[in-house]
Amino acid sequence: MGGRDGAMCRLLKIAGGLGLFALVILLWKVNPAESIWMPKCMIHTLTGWQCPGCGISRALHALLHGHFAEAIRYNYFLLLSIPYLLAVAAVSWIPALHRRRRLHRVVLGPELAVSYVVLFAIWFVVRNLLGL
Amino acid sequence: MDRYYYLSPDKTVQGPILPSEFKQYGLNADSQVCREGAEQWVALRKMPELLVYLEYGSGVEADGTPQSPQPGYGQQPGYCQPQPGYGQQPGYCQPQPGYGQQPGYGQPQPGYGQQQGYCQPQPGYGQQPGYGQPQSGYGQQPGYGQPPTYMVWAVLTTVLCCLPFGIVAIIKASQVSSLWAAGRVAEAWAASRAARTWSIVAAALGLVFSIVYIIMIIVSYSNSSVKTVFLF
Repeated sequence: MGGRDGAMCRLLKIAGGLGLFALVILLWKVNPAESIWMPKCMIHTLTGWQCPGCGISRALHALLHGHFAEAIRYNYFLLLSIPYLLAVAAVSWIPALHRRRRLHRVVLGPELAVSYVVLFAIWFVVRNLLGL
Repeated sequence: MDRYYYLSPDKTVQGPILPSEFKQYGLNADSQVCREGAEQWVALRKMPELLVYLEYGSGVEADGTPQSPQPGYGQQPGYCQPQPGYGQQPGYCQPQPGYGQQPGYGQPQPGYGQQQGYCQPQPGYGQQPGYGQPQSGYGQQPGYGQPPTYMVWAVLTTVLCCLPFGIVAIIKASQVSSLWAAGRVAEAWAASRAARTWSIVAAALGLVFSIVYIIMIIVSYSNSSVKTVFLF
């Protein structure tokens, strides 16, 4: 399993990294709120609901231009998801943190993941009820 | 020299092969092996005398055969091939204290059918000294051999595409570390692979939708009447 998975993993990381980089450049250059060419949320397009992630591309555009308060208004869940994502990325990728097994288990563990998913679902309902 | 069966990535039993062939067949420290004639499936990382073959390949063979694995294993011949319902037969893998508390342990799980012969390491194997703490040798990289969690990608897919598949990926990814810490090596790998698969599925679906969306915009944009509606 080693060789194949290792190669797959590397390939996935490179592809994912390049994709993310392209996405950041695109989001910096183009304002999704103004450009019709920026893909819209699938769930919002199909159902008309605000999904838990709706507004994130607009928020990221605002963030990349330093407009923090505007970014949060597009999607308040970013207050949770960005720190979570950063923590997960730090624990996964920063070699100095690899020693911290407890930190690993907490950040990458099921308790935090389940809480995140539950909050994700609650946010889905709340934002549609309150029109956030 | 003893020969070993091993579980390939698709969880079929392969072999038997000689330890000197481990490298050649792509085994790694997490590969489950079972000595010919024995009944225990054990991760290679728990058998230091076999681990050396991963590092040196067939070079070790010249120095003489390593000491044979634990005595008492050879007495029950021919159990390596997983048999249907193998795991249900009491006495093969005695649940250890701590493991037994997990409901469903030892019962066949959906999708794990081929692994029913997989036994938890027994006392002796299971006592990984200071597991999780830096150990001498390969333990210096904690988490050595742990399957990747793919958690970053799983979270990213929910953040960026907000698809239900991303949620499945997060849950699967979160199980990898704890399964690994509990010594459930094969399940940890399965969770890792599932996390990867669902992340890819979520990302692919988002990508496909984006492409379809752009194509639809191009189509409608080429109709001049719609052109004025859109702002640039």
